[in-house]
Amino acid sequence: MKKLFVLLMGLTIVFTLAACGPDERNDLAPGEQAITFWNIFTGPDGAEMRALVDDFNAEHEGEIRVSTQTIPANDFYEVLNTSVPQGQGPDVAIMHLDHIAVNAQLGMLNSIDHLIDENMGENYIEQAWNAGAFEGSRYAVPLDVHPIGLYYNKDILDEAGVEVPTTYYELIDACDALQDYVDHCMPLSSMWPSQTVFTAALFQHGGRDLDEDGLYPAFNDASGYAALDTLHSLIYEHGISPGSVNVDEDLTLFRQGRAAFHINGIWMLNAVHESGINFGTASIETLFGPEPAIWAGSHSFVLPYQTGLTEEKEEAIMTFIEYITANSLRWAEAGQIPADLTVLNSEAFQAMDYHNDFFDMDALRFVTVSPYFEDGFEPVYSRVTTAMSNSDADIQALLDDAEQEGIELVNEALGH
Amino acid sequence: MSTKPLAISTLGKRILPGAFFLPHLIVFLIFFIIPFFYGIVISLYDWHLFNPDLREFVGLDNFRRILFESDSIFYRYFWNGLRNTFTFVVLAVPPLVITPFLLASLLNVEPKGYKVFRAIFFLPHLFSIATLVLIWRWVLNTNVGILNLTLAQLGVDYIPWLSRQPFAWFALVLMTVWWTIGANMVIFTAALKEVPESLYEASDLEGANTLQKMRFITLPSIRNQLIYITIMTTIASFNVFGQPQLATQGGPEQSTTVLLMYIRNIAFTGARPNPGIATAMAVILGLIMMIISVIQVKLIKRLGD
Repeated sequence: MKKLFVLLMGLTIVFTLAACGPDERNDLAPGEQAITFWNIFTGPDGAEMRALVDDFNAEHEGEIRVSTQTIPANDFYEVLNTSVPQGQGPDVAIMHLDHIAVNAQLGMLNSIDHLIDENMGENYIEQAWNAGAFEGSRYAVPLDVHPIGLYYNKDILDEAGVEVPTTYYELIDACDALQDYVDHCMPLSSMWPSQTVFTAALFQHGGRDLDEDGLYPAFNDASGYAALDTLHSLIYEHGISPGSVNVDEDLTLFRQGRAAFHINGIWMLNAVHESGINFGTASIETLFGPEPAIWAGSHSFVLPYQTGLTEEKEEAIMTFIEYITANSLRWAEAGQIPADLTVLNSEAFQAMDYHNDFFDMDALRFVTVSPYFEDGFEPVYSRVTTAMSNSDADIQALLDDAEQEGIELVNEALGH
Repeated sequence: MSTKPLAISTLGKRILPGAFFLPHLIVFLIFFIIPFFYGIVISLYDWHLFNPDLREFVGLDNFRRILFESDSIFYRYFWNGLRNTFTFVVLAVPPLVITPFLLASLLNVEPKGYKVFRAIFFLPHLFSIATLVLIWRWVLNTNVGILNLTLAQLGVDYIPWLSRQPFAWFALVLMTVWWTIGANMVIFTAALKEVPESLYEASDLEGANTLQKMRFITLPSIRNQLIYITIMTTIASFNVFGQPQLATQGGPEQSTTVLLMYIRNIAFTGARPNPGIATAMAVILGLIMMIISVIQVKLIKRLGD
């Protein structure tokens, strides 16, 4: 009996330790390249990405095999930050545009200058391509761009005879006209994605996130005040939204047909679609201020730092990246705009009305490419929440606080 | 004293226990002992996350900056985070200990269907933090949450549970109590079963009332379990992270940004991740937890005398 116990115990230990090992198959064909790919796509978009990777593996049987690991976005950068320096990182990973510069500066990424030819950039959305370069070197190839935009309930607007608003004053008039037709005109979440709405409003008022050197906060000026005041007064003066709306509450109200308008990313397209609401999409490029600008993010492919990559493996990685971007129509269906211009201009994509109504290419704006973006700009996010959940918020004081915190964090990062 | 060589079976008796605790020992070493001492080492350096070769020994300078350099952003983060963590501990620990105790006392009477209720009370303990917060966000949402919609039937205005104080603290404590009732309740239930019935019978003869029975029989009898639960709950509460991170995102106005949230941000984010400062904060938090645990043991031991 005891021997059996010891045996079982030993086996348990062996299996436990074995289970900790990487989930890789070792039956590679001679010359076949094994590539590890980390991404953050935990939702339905993850299924689309897996299907794309499976297609790639099937088409490159015996040459390249990509194994995917999905890590929830909350933990993704911490996991990457702790694995890569230990040599435990992946061969290729997905990274948000605003994280590329900081990770490049920290030495987390391998430059891919030697792997691309100079014309490659012409095949991608210009702003997204440009965001993948830092201090003269290229680190990323964009997969998609994901702007925020306006979802509107067609039935409610038709019933009230209201047109889709394109400016601040049109929005207020539309909401006045809709008062008897719907509970809420346009619920605005005071939490996520309020920071993207604020950033869009800032750009539309001619403001900047960081200064021209990409160092210090630059949002605390007349444009920043106008942007935050616009959001605050939409809620507490014009009553287009209830106060203190939490994450996804705005989406829920729209999906229930209790809201006429909803601002969210294009990534919510399928979630809105599933609700069965008869809806349309529109650009928000001048909804808060006079200068056309839409906040947009982007997922890019990056090569986390590692040494000893063979030329064959690097080529295999690039083959994989180019395959996925070139076949990203399927990815667009997950609620994204392909960054690859061939896909973007294809008939199949041009026929996707929701996607094409959602944005105007010229108005796409990305945040400043700077390693100090997070330190310098992100302190404003919590102040946006405060402004949008308090009727008596002191807009100027909130911006002052955010700027002060941003300056101190940047100084700390610069070692001043 | 026997000089006979050890029989195989005796050898087995000595190795067998080792085989049982070895897996735990390995995990304990890798995930606790090594990081614990490594963390103390890091706290004495100006540490570079990506390039440890660049590290510079600075002695206790990280601690000085956090504790005393009042114009440093880290000083403000530390004290604000510590105050918020303390607030959570003070608000959360009493209900986290008392609620399971009361439920266990009720279950101990073994009313009809008590097994079902025991399972129901324990169930939330099995949820992950992400699930917990997701559920409670839907309960507590301002405009579409069940709680506010129910209160509205009673004529109460919508309450912004997650974005205004003091509601945000109430919400965080509420979801934590619901989440963690199970573990403490199981221990209390087991402890209450151990209290000899004869003591209660004797006290009935003496004419003791319910409160007196609880004070002079029940509490002293379960003293050890009470010490264990109070200390473990306090330590767990000091380590609060997931609930405010996911439910309130540290708001409103960084009033629920607990120390661990600052520590994680300082260690891993921004253009200059600073693990030295972050681990120094963690070491101080650890010291505070140790001191408070010792005080708690002394106080509760006195309760039994």
